[in-house]
Amino acid sequence: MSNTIIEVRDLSKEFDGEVVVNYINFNVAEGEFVTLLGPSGCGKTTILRMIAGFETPTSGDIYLYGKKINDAAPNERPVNTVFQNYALFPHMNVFNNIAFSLAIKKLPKKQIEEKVNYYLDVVNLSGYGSRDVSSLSGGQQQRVAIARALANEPKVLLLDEPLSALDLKLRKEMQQELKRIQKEVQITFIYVTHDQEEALSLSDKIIVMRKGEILQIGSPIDIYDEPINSYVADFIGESNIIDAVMHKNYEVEFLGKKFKCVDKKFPETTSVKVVIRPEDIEFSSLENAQLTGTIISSTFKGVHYEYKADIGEMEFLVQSTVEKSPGDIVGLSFVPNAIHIMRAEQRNIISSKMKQDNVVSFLGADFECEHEIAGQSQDVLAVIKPADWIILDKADKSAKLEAVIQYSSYHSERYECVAKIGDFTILLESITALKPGDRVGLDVDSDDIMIILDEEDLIEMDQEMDEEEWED
Amino acid sequence: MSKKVKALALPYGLWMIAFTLAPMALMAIYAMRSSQGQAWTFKNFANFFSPLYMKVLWESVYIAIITTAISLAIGYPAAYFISVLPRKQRDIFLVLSILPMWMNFLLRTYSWMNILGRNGLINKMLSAIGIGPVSILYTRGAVYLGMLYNFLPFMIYPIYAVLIKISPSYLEAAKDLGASSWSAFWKITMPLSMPGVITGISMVFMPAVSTFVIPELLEGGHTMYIGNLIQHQFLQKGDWNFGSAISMILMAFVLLSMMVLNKFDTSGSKEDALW
Repeated sequence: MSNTIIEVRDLSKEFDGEVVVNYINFNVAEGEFVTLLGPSGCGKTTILRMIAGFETPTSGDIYLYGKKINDAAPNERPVNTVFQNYALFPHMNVFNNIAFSLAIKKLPKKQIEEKVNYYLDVVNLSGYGSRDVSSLSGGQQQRVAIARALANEPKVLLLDEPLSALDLKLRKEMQQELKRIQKEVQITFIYVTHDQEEALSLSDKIIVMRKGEILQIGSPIDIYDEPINSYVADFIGESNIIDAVMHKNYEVEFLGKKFKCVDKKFPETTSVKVVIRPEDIEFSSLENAQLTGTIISSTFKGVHYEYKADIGEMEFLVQSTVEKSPGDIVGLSFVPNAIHIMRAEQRNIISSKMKQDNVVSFLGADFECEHEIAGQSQDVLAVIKPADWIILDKADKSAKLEAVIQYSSYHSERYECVAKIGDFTILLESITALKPGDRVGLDVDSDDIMIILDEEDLIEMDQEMDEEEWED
Repeated sequence: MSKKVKALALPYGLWMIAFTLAPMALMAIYAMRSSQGQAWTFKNFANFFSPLYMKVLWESVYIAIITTAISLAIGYPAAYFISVLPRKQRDIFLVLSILPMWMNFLLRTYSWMNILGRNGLINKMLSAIGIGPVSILYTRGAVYLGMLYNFLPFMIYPIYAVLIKISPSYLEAAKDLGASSWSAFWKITMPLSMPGVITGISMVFMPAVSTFVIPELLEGGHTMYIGNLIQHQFLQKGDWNFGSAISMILMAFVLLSMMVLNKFDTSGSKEDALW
């Protein structure tokens, strides 16, 4: 395991009271290519700007080689940024742009020349030194921006959507270039993008974000094959997502049938979601098929066809090189390995009573919440995400509830636990290690308690979440 | 360009012919005519290059340079300060900086006479604390004060307009690459704001070098500047030919100095420059 170079701990950022980055934790190892992936407005650029020193965290810390750098000015951090709009100095030529940081350091002229020429060579722009930056193409400007940042010889290079202004072909080319450059200079890259394909092909590690929070951290293969929830699955590529139940290990039930799979059942729940990638589905004869359906549309994509097949309860997306026509009845089959099991989005739903406006009572304790009593009904449901519990020491007098950990598993840099409060089972997440038998005190912030009247509200909410746009 | 657009530009075209080109042509003709006969001559131009008139030109250039330098020294920091303010305050300061412009130029200058005079506001205040009266009006200092008051907004505004357009990402990039705030200013902001500085200098230097009302009113007309000289030739001496020649020389001088000035544009973009 290589050395940790950057540690981000409990990092939060608010702009005018709006939380943009919410309690983020992650590590970056030396030499790693880490991508922050998410839609615009998910807080990924803000995290990058906090690492660069352009924004001050509202709370939390950033460590570089174990040293806190929160208060260091941008020019005091061994970190350089490749800006989205390149920010090349328009009054300087290519050479002087790249030499900027070296001139600031007052290196001797000859050394500056050597270094600039070396980095011009790294980005394949030898001989362009005397060119005006405005005379360069977008891709060339991009290369100059990278060379300029590298010339300062940073420990970490931050790249803020560096390819988003380039056209598709150039973007592909620059992706290859970036990977090559990173290998050549062996510097840690932290890369921000909303393009999942870019993230998958470039990264050693991907951090998937939504609304200021991390959803999943993992290698591209982990994220693609084992997405933690339907949101990640959907974002990271085309997928068929199916509600399913799992009563025992290695067997999952969906669409009224039982299928073999390679995953064990989750100890705390039977309800899961299944992801099957469209390229993992094959056409087969009707008698050998696991599912049958009717082709309803066909699109030629170049390498393969993309079909929509009606299988009764839902539409399936299938990618295949075999030609079929709309109306054809087809058998679909997939191997157990192609069935990826995810937890359905986990939430604690607790029967509660509204005591008065903004005070709700559940599990024997009163909590502040943001809900006014409507009409006569005081029976409500309190919805709390596992990550939103505030975990306190069991001796802490301010704790409102006490829970006993039943089960704990480490997943994506956090512990997912099942715990009991009296007879009631809850799910909670912890950054610190918890093991079965541990007793913890619990509290929860008023704005992390969502009050709903019945479970139907929850379904509506989920649908709204799913319809959120990923694009810019 | 479509015919319609051309037609829309016609009124200004006529305006320019009637009030810029035609008068200039007339002036050129007058300048090359002798005041005695009808002969064509360059004597009017040659007459100007005598020590007496050279001193007049020098005095004018001298006060224009001093005025421009002081307005730059005051105007650049002011423009920079305004450009970094939050939006609302920025608007307030911008309006304040051009507020004097809302009043007529002559009125403004006359009111300075009242403020600076022997029985003016300043001397009254000074005598209240037992000093003075001090002569302020009818000195060179009063001329500088009047010129600054009138021309400073012409320095602040173009510099501000350029500063506000410089992308903050350039400064972020500079700091990211190790520059302190101070060196980021000198290496990035300053060179990129040169078009504004050059426009500002032109806008102050040009009227300052040819001014005649301000010295007339605030200095009592006891030093001859080139503006006063031209006025004098036309209105007192009635020598329109010599007056025209001096005007032509002044114009050539201003044009030349602007061309030299534009050599100092370090921003890399020549599009915004006057020429």
